Parts: sequence; C-alpha cells; structure tokens
Amino acid sequence: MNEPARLADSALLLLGHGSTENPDSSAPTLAHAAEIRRRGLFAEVQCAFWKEEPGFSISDYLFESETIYAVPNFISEGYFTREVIPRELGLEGPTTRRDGKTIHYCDPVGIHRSMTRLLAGRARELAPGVAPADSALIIVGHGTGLNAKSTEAIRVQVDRLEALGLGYGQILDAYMEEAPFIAEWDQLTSLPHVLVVPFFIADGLHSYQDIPVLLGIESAPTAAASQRDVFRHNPVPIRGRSLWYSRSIGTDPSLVDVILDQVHDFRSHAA
Amino acid sequence: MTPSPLLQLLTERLRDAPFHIGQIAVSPLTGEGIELRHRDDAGLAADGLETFDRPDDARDIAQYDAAGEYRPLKGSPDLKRGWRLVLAGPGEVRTALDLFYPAALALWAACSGNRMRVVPLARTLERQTGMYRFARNISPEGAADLMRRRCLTGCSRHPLWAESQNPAVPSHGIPLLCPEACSFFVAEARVVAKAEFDAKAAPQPATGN
Ligand code: SF4
Repeated sequence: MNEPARLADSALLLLGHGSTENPDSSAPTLAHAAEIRRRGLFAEVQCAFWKEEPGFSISDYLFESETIYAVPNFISEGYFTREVIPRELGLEGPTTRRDGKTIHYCDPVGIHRSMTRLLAGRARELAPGVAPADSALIIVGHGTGLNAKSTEAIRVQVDRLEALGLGYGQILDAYMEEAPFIAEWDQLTSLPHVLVVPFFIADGLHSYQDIPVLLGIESAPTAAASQRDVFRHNPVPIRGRSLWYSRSIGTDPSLVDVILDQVHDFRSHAA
Repeated sequence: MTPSPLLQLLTERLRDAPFHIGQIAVSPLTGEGIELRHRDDAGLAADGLETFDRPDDARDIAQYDAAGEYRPLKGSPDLKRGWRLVLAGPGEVRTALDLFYPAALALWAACSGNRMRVVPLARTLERQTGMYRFARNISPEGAADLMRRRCLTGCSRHPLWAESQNPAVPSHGIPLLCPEACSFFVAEARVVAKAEFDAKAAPQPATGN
C-alpha cells in the first residue's frame, strides 16, 4: 500500500465463507481484519460471512463510511465471488452506488500476484536449512470440475513460482480429487525432501484430516482436539523421504498484505 | 474525521447503564470501566467469575456453549455463564458487542435512525441459487413452524421479517434485531421443503375400498 492516507475515510469489508461446523474457518478472516484495524489504514474494518454472522446481505448496515472496499477472502474466482456475493450485496458491477454509498468490489485474494510471494515465503519457513535443490514443493488444492477455477489458480501459482527461480528441484501442483493426485506424492517426485502447502483460505477438514490421510501421515481422521498437532511433526519420515506439511496458505499473517494489495490494485485500475 | 454516530448512540446508552443486550448485562463499575457479564450471573460476586479485560476476549467467550459445542449462530440463547469482561470505554464495548452479537449495534443504530429495510421471507428465498434454491418451495405453514422453532425459541434476535409476527421490540436495553432471514434459517428451510416434498411424493397408504 503506497497511499494509506487516502484510504483513511474509507471502509474495508472482508467477505469470508465461514462454517456452521468449524470455528477455524472464519478465524483467519477475523484475524486479518483485526490486524488491518490495528494498522489504522481504514476508518472501519468489518467482516461478513456466508455461513456465519453477520451475513453478507446485511453488510450494508455495518458501515458509516461512504466508500467501501469489499474484498472476498476466497482462494479463487468462482460461484461465491461471481454469483453469491454480488447477489447478496446487491452489486451491479465493479463499483455500485446506492443510498449515498459507493461499494468497490475487488478481486478475491487468492488470485493476486502477491500470493506467489506468500507461497515462496511459506515454503522457506516450512523447511529452514533444507537445500531447495533437494526439495520438491507441492501446492495442493481440492480439484474436480466443481471448482475448475481453483485448479487453474494453483497452476498459475506453480508457473509463477517456477519463474521466480527459487532453486527448488521441482515445483508441482497436486489435488485431492483429480490427477495429479496428492495421494501419489512419492511417485510425483524422487527428491528426498517434499514440502506440501495446502492452497486453502483456512484450515479445516481438508488440511486437518483429508490431506494428512492422503499423504499417509495420519491413518484415520484425527480427533478434533488434536487437529492442530498435524502441523507439529515436521519433518515426517515416510515412504523413504522427509515430508514437511504446512498449514493452509490463507492462515499466513502476511495474507494481510495481499488483501491490501487487492484494494490498491482496484484503486490503480480505477484511476 | 466525523465522530461515529453509532459510537455516540452507544456512549449515550452507556450513560443510562445498566442495561441488557441479548443474554448480556452491561453495567458501569464504581470508579472506572464498564462490566459485561451473563445476565443470569447478575447477583454473583465478581470474584466467583473468571475476569477478562480485552474486548477481543468476547470471541473466545462466545465461541462455545457450556457443553463445549461450537456456536456458529451467535444469537443462540446458550451463551455460557461464569465470566465477566471489564472494559475501558464505549469503543471497547462496541468491539466486544460486535463479537458477541455481530451487527447488532449497527442494526440498532439503523433502526433508531429509520434506516432499517425489512426483507420479507419470500424475497430472501427467491434469490437463493445452487443447493438452496429448493428452499423457496417451503409451505407457509412449514415456514411459520420453522420460524417459531428456530427464531422464537432458538435465537435471541427479533425476526422483524416474519410478517405475521409483530415482535415487541423492547424499549429498554439494546434490542437484537433481525431484518432478514439468516443463512441458518435458509439452510433449514431447504431441509423442511425437501421433507415436505418427499412426504407428498411418497405413495399414500391404501385407504381401503
Ligand atoms: S432468521 Fe431467525 S435464527 Fe436467523 S438470526 Fe434471525 S431470528 Fe435468529
């Protein structure tokens, strides 16, 4: 963000999915909002959720500022960013003016270019002291036609990570439900160190249970109380390699900068 | 920057404290500070309660009920007891109440300023897409029954959108207002609509000759 002063009279609305089952689903969105509030860049910072409160459709009431930047804290374009959010917020396009308010609808965080920097940083922190040349970095997503855009988003990230020339022996994408399958990670690479970063906005069933089971580091779904433990055993010696498993990328505190970058980009495009 | 009208409204309200909002009692402390606690803990000595002092602690207090179950619907009338939250001023009270009852203060301010737009249930259900599209098929009786079960007994908010209902918005305290059926209601309306559909589609037992 280069010009925070000009934002000081505006509001930020972070839009998340949330969950009726898993409190960790909305936790990163709320934490990022709290950090942005702490930095004092905007007059107001609020969150709204599809599956928690406050709901998307009442988010208008949350603000006293006239200008609102709405940023979907979603990993890719898709049903929620293209259909649900615009409908529930009553948006008419990138900018909507009504009742004396202006709502600017930014792109979802997951498709911003700076996500690549975040992934690179996460990979570096995950396995400090391990030579990148001996390591394969795998970015893992859900896969399947239901979410074609998220698969595309991951492929784009892998290409951009390659272009950064980080020195990794291999950088790959893999999926839970489509080829290349994350369950076959040991066949996708022969390198001794394998770094796995889930490309999700929050930790939940996929990162706590499904992916660890597919990787072979958990044999059965883990109990709720030990969900966070799954990230604490790095590296796991398995199938003759060292496996390093990360929390979902969206839980990284630096995601705050990606959110601010999306607002910044919206403003530069509009200018 | 202009002072926040909501904060002004809350500051005025706090001058008349103590008052209730949902299951919470808000009272000024002798000396300085404002205390929030469960209204059912009103008569208890402070040292019998666990004391918190950061507005963000409200999220942890409100996250699980007494049995340790997650509370995704914060209006659910099962806020746990046994705590007190001591805050410095209106700004902190606002942050805490936004976590206990999301959007409640904003909706109260909108209602006080005649800016509330109540959305009828039919409109909310008609705009649903994807798996929730089917919710629009719920019968009026099914919807009324769900509203009684979900909103009147299962939630501390007042469902202003329920047309047949004329909720008495309390004049004291800060009311919890609901201008539009929430996503919990819509999800349950879908389940009821499906059950109604299945009941109709099931072969009727023979009625004899
Ligand atoms: S629709 Fe019913 S359950 Fe949902 S917030 Fe409103 S009153 Fe509560």
